[in-house]
Amino acid sequence: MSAILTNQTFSFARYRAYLAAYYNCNRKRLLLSWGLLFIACMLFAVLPAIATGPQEGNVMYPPSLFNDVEEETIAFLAIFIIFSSLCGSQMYSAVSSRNDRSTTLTLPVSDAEKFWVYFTVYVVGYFAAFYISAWVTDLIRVAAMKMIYAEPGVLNHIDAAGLFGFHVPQPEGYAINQMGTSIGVYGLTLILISTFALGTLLWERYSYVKTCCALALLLTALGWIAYGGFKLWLSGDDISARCSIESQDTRLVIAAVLFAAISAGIFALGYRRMKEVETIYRW
Amino acid sequence: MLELENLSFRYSRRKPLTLDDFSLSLAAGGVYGLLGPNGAGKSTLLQLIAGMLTPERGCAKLYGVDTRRRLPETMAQLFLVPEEFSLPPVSLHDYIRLNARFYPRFSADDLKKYLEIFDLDADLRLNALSMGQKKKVFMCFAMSCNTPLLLMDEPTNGLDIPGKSAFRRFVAQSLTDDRLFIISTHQVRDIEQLLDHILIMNTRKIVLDRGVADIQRRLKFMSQLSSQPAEALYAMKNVLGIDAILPNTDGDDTDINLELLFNFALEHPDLLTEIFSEPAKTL
Repeated sequence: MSAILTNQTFSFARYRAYLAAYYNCNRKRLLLSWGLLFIACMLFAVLPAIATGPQEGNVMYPPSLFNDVEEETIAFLAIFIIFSSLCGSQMYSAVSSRNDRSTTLTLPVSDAEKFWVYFTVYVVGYFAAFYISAWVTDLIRVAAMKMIYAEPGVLNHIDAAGLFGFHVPQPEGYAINQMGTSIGVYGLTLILISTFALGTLLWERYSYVKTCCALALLLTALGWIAYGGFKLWLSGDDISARCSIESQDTRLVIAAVLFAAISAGIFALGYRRMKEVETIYRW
Repeated sequence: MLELENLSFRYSRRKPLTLDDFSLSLAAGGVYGLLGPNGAGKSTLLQLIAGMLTPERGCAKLYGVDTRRRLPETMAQLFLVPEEFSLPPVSLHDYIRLNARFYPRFSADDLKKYLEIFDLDADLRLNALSMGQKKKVFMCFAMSCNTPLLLMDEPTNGLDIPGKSAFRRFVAQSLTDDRLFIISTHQVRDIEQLLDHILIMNTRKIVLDRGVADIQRRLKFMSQLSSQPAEALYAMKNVLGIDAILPNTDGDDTDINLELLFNFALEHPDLLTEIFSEPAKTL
């Protein structure tokens, strides 16, 4: 038997071979989407700051709009979340059309290997593409500002150690808050990617719009349930005893575990659906 | 080699069974023609054999292994050429480099030989081809993977007239004792000279499962008759006269008229079953 067929569940050789095949066959589409991501970052982070230019009578200090670290961070965060949903909707593109499904499903690569290849490209690859885009555009923004203004010293690089993973020294005491934000961003992003990926397996047509609607309905329902539950919870005595998770570390661990469990659950559901995708699409 | 054991399948609980308690045993070294009217379940059967669909009951086993498990080792022993498929926007060289590694018995020499049969150059880009050319290239790749089981769904659809004739040469040259080809088609005239075995399906069941030699031993096919013979089992008028199926009492082999046999099988399945349940010599 060929070495590539020795392990029937997961073989790294087969995973690598399929990753190479998948990337090469989808290279244009992937590069285009990563290019769009970079352009979006540039549009939000660099161009507005440069376009505003030195204000009349003030060539010393850059304008606050889009130079403000928080605003830029929010812009990047919004791009990150929007592209996450788009990325999720592409995750199972190899089985989204009937023509692709037959060649994908009958390829001698295990379902687990296929899933991890898609995960690598659309989660790990997307995160990497975003970090690089955000980091490069931020560098460009600061470099451009330094050329325009006489006193660009007020400029800061984006405060992104927690959010996006590239480090800028922070004052002490910020670390734990950044970790909380980071867990929130990663957790929500993974949930979004897995949910939109699942959406494409549940609905063959208009899956992105249908997933958005389903998600909106779900969040509304959960919001109401949470609101009701919270009111009920607060109605009893000794509230402070109930809110007794004193340690911020514990809260962070609970949040991280919760986010990881939800996204892993949705990814697992998607994986299961992927295995039966041909039958499901005919319902 | 290939066993279908009590296979039952439906696309959803609300829909009737597409295949009902379907059992077959197919041996290597032959070309099986899978014929049937629209909606009879031919493509579904091929997809079940290829492990793309989950049967409600029963299973398809290739060398004793359930194909639904889609184990890489099993999938490397079969290749499905669907009626419609898409090829990635890469050159044929790249396509082979990226995909051939999954098929241990792939032969580049065979691919060259098959491409020559279809008068195709190896130096081509897959996205620049017409549908017919894509089909030829994909069939050449499928054939040169040398999988023991090759499933083809409507392979002559989209082929030009020289292409259909080349297809017959292509199949005839590729068959070896250890390989089994199953060809599903409506265009019976394109393949009738190729077949070793005929399977006719109608409404969830097999109505004929016989070797060509056995059919010729039992039935005689007459064409362009001026009047219908009294002993005719089935007759059909056409512009040149009457075509008829008669019991083969004199032992002479005649070429099978597949279209006539197909209509006979659909209109008189019980009579056909009765004919084939009797020993051949008594006819």
